[in-house]
Amino acid sequence: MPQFERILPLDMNMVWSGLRVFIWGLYMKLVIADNIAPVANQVFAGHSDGSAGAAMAGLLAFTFQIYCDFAGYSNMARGVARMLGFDLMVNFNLPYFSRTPSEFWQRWHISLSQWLRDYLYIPLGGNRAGVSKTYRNLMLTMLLGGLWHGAAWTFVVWGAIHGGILVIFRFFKIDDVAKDAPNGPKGWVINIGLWAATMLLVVLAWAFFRAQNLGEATRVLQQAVGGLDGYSWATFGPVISFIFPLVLVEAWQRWKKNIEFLNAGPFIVRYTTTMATLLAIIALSASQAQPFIYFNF
Amino acid sequence: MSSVSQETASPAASDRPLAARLALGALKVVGLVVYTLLFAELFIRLVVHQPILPRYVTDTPWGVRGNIPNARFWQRTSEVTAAFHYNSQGMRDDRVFPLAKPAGVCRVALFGDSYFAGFELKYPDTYAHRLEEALRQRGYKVEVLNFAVSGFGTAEHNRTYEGFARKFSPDLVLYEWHLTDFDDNVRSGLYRLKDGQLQPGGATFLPSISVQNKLMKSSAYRFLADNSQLYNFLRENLARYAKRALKVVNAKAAGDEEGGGAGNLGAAVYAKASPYAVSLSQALLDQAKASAARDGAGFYVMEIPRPVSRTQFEPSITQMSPQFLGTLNLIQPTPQLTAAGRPDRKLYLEHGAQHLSPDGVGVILAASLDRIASDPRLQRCHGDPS
Repeated sequence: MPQFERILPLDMNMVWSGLRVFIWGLYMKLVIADNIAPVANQVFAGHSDGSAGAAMAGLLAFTFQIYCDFAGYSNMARGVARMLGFDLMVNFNLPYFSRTPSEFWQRWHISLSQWLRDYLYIPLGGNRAGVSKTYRNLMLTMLLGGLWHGAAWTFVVWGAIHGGILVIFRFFKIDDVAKDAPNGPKGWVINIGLWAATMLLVVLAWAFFRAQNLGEATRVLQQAVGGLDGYSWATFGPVISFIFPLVLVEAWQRWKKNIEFLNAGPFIVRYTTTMATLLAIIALSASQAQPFIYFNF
Repeated sequence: MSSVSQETASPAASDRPLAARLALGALKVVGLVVYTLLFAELFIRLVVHQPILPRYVTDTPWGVRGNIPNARFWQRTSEVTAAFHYNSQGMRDDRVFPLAKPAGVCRVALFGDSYFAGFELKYPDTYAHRLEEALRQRGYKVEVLNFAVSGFGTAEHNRTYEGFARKFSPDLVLYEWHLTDFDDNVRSGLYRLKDGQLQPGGATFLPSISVQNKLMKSSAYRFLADNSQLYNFLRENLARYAKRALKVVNAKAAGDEEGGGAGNLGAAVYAKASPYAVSLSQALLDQAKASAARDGAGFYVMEIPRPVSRTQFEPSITQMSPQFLGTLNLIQPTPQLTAAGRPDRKLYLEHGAQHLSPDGVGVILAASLDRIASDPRLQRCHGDPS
């Protein structure tokens, strides 16, 4: 890493900026991920009320739990590194705003995605060896990407789903539709439709990532699509109340094209947003801290 | 904050005299502090809804905390606003009780923590008041004296009984039991177990009372304690950690390697107490029973179970041995609460510190009234229903 070769004087601007990135990561982990984890745990352990709404709330909870757990961890690492004078890459770039699976993988766990692209997908031939081999390479890359998380059929299925939807989106040239979406209302409809379809697939795939075995994943998915019961604020409130502020912040980040929410604006704005985040961490952190999910991998 | 000053300093700032620059800097710092406090107060009010449950406690000659005599204050949560008044004897009552028991009147002395003290409840809704009303309606000439103090455990009840309450010659003594008592009994260090025998420990247990006594002289502090959600939020959280640390220290000093058992940080409070904490609590209840018997008073223990949900309630006294519990006049209202619990019925308040609701008090009153009313010691005070 070339940054190690130069001795860096302590730069207070870097320290404050890094501290704010760290605080945002801490918020994602302690306030969001750890507070919604019990909702997902209950559903996957089979302790929910058995309704479709409860299963969807559990899937939604895990969708944001794993994101906030891992992106929070990454932000904390980036923040500490910056305080010491090192700039680390952004590892999560608003992945849940993706309109296609390929965009999702450009925004999710970017360090792993890039590694898989550079050391697996491209050496396999990438998209230069014909259409069918491109599909094969996508499937192989995602299957191995799934297996990277652990030797379990659930990860294989999770990788296969992502490989499959990458292939389908490529086959039907949906990526091109997203790229060529016009401005204006028609473009909005296209973008929202693509985003909804991508997110639905991503959320359903998380069932296999989270479950202990294929049977558990199947049970939760069957429960989720098995009716329209259980859709109430009592079921979704504990999840939505924690993810809503994050969605607002990320919408702002996407609008402003600025990933560093707490480092934006003049001093008084930065001070206020940082203070609010710190107060939220102190006041709303889950009483039972959960270990980082990615410590398993 | 150097980056702050770097960013906000204007080029002309260095031309100003030193005194002016210092004054401006001080003004900025003060402004920032005021802004921080106001913002934090607003944040806690909007996001956390911190209940304001001031305690108003001070030291007493018998070495433990007592309610501040003649104190008047309010408790506020999003569910209830309750006025508090302690009489000159530190009881939550408008009456002052003479030491000498009036002729033909029986006395019931209540000992407990914030549940019996009626936290988050208006006075007419408190268990003490309703018990007296109910007994009077049944024809008993009775006074219920409420010696409850928030945060108390059995050890502190025992000190209060010996040092103060027994002077009022109660006919019945009713101890509240709550799961926090395991912790409280270890934490206070007032008694310890040595070779299975109860030994006196510290002469006093007055945590942070000297500081609080000084602070309570300040009207600004009282205003903060009574009105600031930020202050109450910080105090509650700091107190939680301090209590946990104190319990572990006192448990280790008493030779309990488990540190009293699971602490009261978050949900861990509901885990099991250590065998030492259980044995100590049994010994303290035994001591209380013996003291009451020595004075010719009946002795009852009533558990306030922990609400798991609106329909599930969990006892903790059952961690003690069944043989020991068989020696107590134990009032265990868990079955009545479970029978009364419904998803649309709040037996415990949910936006404060999970104290009993007026409805919940009604259930425990119904669970205890017959037992208390039928005690032979009260029959001499039975006349026509009033």
